[in-house]
Amino acid sequence: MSLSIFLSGCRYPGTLTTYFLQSLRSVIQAASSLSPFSFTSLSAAACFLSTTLSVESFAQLAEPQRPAFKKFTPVSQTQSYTTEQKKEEPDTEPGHNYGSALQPQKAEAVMPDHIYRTLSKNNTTLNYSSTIPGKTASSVDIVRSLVHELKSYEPAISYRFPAQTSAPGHAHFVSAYQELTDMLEGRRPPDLKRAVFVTENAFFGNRMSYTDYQTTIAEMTTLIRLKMQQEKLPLQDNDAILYMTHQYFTDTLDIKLPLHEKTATTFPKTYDFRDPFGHENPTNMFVSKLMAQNSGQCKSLPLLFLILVYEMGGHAYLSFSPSHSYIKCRDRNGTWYNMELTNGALTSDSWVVASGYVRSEAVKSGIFLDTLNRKQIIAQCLVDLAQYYTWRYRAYGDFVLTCVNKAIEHHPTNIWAIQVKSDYYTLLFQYIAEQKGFTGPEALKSDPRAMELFTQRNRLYALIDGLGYEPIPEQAYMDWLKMLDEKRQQQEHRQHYSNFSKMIR
Amino acid sequence: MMQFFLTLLLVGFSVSLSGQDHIAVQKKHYEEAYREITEMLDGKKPYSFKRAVFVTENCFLHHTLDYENFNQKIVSLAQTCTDYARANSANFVYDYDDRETVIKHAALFRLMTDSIPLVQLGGHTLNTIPYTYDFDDFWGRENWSQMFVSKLMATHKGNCHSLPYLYKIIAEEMGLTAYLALAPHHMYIKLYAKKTGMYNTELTNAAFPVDAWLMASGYIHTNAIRSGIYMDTLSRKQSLALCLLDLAKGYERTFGTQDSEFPGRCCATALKHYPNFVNALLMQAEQTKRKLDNLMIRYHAASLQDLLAVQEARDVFEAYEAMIRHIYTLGYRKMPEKMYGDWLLDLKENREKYTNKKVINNFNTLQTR
Repeated sequence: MSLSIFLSGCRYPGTLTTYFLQSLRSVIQAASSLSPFSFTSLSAAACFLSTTLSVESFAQLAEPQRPAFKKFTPVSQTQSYTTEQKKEEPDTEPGHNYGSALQPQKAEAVMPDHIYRTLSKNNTTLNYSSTIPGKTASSVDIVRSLVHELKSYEPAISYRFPAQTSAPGHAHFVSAYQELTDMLEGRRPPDLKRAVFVTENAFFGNRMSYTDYQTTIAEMTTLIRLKMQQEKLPLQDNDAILYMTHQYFTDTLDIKLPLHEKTATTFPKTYDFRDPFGHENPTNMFVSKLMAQNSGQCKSLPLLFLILVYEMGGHAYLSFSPSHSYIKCRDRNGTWYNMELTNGALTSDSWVVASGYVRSEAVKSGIFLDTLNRKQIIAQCLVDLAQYYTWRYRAYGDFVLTCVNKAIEHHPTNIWAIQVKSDYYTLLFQYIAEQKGFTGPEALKSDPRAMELFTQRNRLYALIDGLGYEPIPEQAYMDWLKMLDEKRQQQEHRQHYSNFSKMIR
Repeated sequence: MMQFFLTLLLVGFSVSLSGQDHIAVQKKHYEEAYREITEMLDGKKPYSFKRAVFVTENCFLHHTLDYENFNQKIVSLAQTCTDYARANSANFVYDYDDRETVIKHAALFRLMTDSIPLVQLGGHTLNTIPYTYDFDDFWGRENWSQMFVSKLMATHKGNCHSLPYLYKIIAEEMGLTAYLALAPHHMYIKLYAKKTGMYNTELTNAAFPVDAWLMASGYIHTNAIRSGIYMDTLSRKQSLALCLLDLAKGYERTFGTQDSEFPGRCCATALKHYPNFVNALLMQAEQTKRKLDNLMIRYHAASLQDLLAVQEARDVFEAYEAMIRHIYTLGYRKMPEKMYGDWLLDLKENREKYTNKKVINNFNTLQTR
């Protein structure tokens, strides 16, 4: 009886006085079944006085924290490498530290989280109904019009980062941008091999040799072609090209060289587990690194694969999933295959989505699991260029915005481009906030130009959310790739692969 | 007045009616239900999903249900949720400005899957009874009324058809928005919260699965998502189109599949408002195939080759082929029935893997004080 009164008293803390009438034994009896935090009676509090005192001294540990506004993490087009996580200078010649004012952690000190909370959490621009693609029109068209609308706000934003045109190597980036734009706009034939080269070369300050690069690519295609001849496969057949290039990437091949006694042996291109996200060194994600070391990751492997296939006159597509890219190709029967070059498996779409971070909205809006054609891949090179620029100089500049805007123009559903753009506005806003010394929401509201900038940033966030994007944590990503080693996945691969190779023979 | 008269007619004379009249009366009921839903679709009547579901079920059950009674129950359930949300609002951690909406959804989820204390009487608490999954005949094979919301409300056991319907009905009674979404052989609820974005509510398992659970079933082709036949939020009109298809199915179950005029009309109207409604497309294709079977009998054709010599049959066959091709391009793939059961179990077994933790962490904080 006494126990039940005690328990009901707990639920209604207003009737505290009644507990003094309870015998101490029953209180302790009841107390042992409850955690110390739920005590509301005075006598129970007295019993645990000593405990609470000791807890109080560590109050900052025990007290539940209010959930803080989660800051947007900028995500690069392949990996979750961000400017904040940068640990050391790139291994090229040291540039001036132009970005000292732009260090995000400094800006954070000026803009405490509560300002973000009050401003962006309940901001009307984050209203979802305007950014989730509607049902009547095709979703890609909707995305295109939304992206276009966002661009129309740009002239209103008059704040800019300090100009960096005099930075050493800046001219190389500009000429790379010019060359890629020429390819996209038809003034030059689209050439993925060249596009990848100029992008990486700009990062290295024009110190790569195009002749060497070209020779290596030519060597690779020659070897693949020789092997095709020896296997009596038609050299112009797309399926055969894909089959043999896949073999070249994933298997050890013995290739007889004409007019030579020796046979050449090629070894599979492996996944580099050392630094797949490019945290230590962004060049670990480069195609040139893959060509030099025969090991790469989920960005460089598909790119090299496509370069080789395009060089030999075949065609295949690039496709994105969260923090990942892979090859999509179609055989002559029209069956689609996913090639997972990080370990050579042929996978199904349901495996790709099994990472758990692909939302149905992302598939519907076309940011993930869609195919990218040759031009769109070159547009992606522009996004890479913008990204390399930020890594090279550890700063964002107008150049970054120019690059991603051009990329979006040619590929409106490029989520990485939209993200770099949102990063740009985030950092620009933080920079302005620091320069102006904003201390609270009122100060920000009194500056309409800064407010416009802030709104643009939020519009981009809303667009990214509306497109169904969700970032994947690195650990989840690695676990997901490991799933490919499971028995079931291998079985699936064998089945796809036997279907695929039956086409050739 | 007309309705009242009909009800009176049915109740009073149903025993004395001959079989033929009985059929005529029930067909009339179906026509009335069809008219009422179509009027809602055309905007002549105010939208009410509750009413649409009720009339659909009522005409299958020979007008034995009472709308006032049904409505009363829904209103009281909605009131319970609203009160519960208000009373326990203090410990709910969610703090975005759509808090009021989210806490109501949390309360409704609790009503559907758990229990809400109603009255305290001498140390005993009276709770609501949760609505659980009924493993008997969840396809409605033996008895079509297994799929009904009225059955769910009477027995507190339902399936992936009635549970989301009831959720949507109560939610709309509370003034909330809840979207239905389709998957192969399945239906679930999609909701929006500012903090978490779109999230799924799965009432058969009382869970919040991520999209990967649905997509990894392997029977949702990416084209199916792009064309919007699966995993898309259904608008008001599209939800009413679902009711029309239920009506067509109920009609087939009552009068057999040979009488295809009424179901065909239902399908056509449903497709007018929801062009990529795959279930209606499939039903249409089935009807065309049945037409082909009938022609085969009529012309005494031994094989398809023989039949295709007849012009009429050739036209029907071409139409059938075009339908199947269209359904395939939209991304529909047939899911074997055993797979469906396995897939539902998959969520139960791998709960950890497929749960949307952001949602569950917020919803779990709604506790009775």
